Amino acid sequence: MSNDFSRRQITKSLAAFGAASAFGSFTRPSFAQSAPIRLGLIAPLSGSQEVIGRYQLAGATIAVNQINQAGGVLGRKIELVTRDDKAAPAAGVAAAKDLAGNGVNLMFGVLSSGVALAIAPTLQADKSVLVVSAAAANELTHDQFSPNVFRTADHAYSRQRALAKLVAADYPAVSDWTAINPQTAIGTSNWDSFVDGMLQFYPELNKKPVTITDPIWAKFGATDYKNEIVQLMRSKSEGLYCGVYGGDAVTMFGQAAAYGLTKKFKVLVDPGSEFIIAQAMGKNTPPGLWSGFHWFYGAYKGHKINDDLYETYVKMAGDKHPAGYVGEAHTSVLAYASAIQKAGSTDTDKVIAALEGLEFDSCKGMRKIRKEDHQAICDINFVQFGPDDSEQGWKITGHRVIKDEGLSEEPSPGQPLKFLYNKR
Amino acid sequence: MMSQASNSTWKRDAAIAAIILVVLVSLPFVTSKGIVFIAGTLALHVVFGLSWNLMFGQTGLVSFGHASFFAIGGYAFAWAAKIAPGIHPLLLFAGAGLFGSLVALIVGILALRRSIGVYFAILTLALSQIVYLLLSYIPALGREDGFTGIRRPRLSLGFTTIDLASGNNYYYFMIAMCTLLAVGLWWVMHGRMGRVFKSIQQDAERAAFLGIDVQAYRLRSFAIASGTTAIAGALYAPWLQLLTPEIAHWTFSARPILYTLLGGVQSFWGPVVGAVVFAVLEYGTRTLHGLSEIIIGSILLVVVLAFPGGLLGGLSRLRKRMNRKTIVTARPEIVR
Repeated sequence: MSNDFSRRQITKSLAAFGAASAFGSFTRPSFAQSAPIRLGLIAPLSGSQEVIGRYQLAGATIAVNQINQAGGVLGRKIELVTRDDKAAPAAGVAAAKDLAGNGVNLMFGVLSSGVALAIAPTLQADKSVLVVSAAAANELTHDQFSPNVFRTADHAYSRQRALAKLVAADYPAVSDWTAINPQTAIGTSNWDSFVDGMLQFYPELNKKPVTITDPIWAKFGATDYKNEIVQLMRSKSEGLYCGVYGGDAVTMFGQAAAYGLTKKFKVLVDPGSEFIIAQAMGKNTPPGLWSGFHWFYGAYKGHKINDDLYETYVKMAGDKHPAGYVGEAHTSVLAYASAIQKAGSTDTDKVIAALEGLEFDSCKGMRKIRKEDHQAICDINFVQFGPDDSEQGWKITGHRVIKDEGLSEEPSPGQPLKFLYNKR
Repeated sequence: MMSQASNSTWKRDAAIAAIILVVLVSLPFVTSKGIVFIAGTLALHVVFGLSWNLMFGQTGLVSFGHASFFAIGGYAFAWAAKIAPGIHPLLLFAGAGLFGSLVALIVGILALRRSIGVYFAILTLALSQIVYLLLSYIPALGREDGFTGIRRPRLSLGFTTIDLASGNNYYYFMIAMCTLLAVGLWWVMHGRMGRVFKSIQQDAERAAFLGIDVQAYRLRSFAIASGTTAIAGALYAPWLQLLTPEIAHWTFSARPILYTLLGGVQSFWGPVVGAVVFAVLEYGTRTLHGLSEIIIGSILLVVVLAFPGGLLGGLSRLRKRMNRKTIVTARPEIVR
């Protein structure tokens, strides 16, 4: 199963969309009324994170095409302007400044929290808006809150507490948990959020206390996890929270297979590597591994936005497993479309006012953007994987949708996140 | 004769600097915010390149880890501004520079004693990787995720206070500071100390025979270059308002080397030309996602192969060749 989709196919779609816009220009009554609304996508379109950036580009392209085919917004077409942030803060700021300088005041995308945190303080002066489609750092809606930043995706706190709720409900017998985490702020923040959720939900659901054993900290981007794996093999815990994500998780699980680590623990969970681990590990995919998803298409079958997005993506990319980033970039465009429609304008202040408290439908159902801290309240998705005898080597053995009912914290923009139960 | 030559160099360089300054100062009035941001970053990269070339082109010291001082300056400024917000920002910038120089002195005393050439290059590379790893491990500095929430300071000048967070104030402040640093480096290179550095670069043994303390002057060159780079790093912190360990990475250390090789080692303006050409190429190819690096890399390769002395070296050779032709064609007339 190939996970690649042709860049040419996307280029074709963009060209078709561009041609349609150009054709549209001949039939416009006046330029000012029908000039396209330009939305700027900032994503890693080259470098090591390009694999995720192309998902964001695909989701955004599909959303723009769908909106334009339906007549556009306020009678105007939407035009997608893309900029590469290379997942590097300086390149991200340069991209945002470049877009603002070219009159593109409405931006979205951004995978890396570092890039989002770098762009955020520059937006007010440049009179721009950024709708974050993926970066999950809690700081964006807390200590580093900017009135010009919104997040339509779930964030670290809600996602990890949802994961805790899932395992507390599904695995009542597993009461001792430990972790292997990367030494990064997001690694620490994810783990603290998961522990916060476990300390709340496990006793609530199972009427007994949960034991949290000190985690093992690994270097971010490490190539050798043998010491950490040996330490984990000595652990008495039954549940393992594998906080190392993406490529690091692939390296770690690749080395762990030889030690039998995946068989030692009764439950394995991962904060958000989506398909990456299963696609890399194939037949060695850890059985029963739960992975956090931004959006899992299989969970919303029958919901028109979900089905249309999935079908268009598969047709365009030839890939049957779109990552959640496709859905989140698609969602950010839908949020802008709703907000512009509501505001009747693309003016920065009016769009900000319209985004605050906005309720809109998306590939994973209704979302509401909180007025206070600009965080969207939405479903959180998890998928369970296992090895398989098929050519693909892995299969989806289950999925779960957790509603954000009491998962997200109370809004406190400008203040650091306070954990409710995790007082360490 | 000597003073006449340096007088004409001074005038020519001052004229070039004035033209560059006029362009930089007028940019916010005539162009977009994106280009202003790139120009501000470019000014810092120019100082970064010039200070590296003080070591390489002037003193013959090759450093593969110059970015470590950029990072040391940036992080020192950000950390000090956070824990002691009352300190005057100019003192913080100066402090970051002095701290960079101090680290260079300590490293230099140990490293320059015996190792020169490729050994020194590898040692500086190791230093930069140590700094990179330390930055990604220290929680107070934000580890891998970076140092966030760096504010642009208010600049109190006694008679007035300028809010550097407002409008393009910080851009102008950076241009002023980078000009001062570049003038400082020019003065060092063209003064007595610069000539001593040059003599060491040309023949260290002969310089020592003439009574020059080669070790002390190499150390001085290393400390001055590192200090100015640290100030450039400190200026970068409030410019981006975020620092990540990547600015200590060896790939960032390659930047000043690239600027110098591209522009020319022998001229003061070499790293300036290199940095400008690099920035123009990066900006021009920014929408060619994925192809940008290939195009920039290919152009750099062609330039370096076609002009071994850099763009300015190539221009100078071209001018000499044309002059020679003029003399050759002029001679028969003289004979007649």
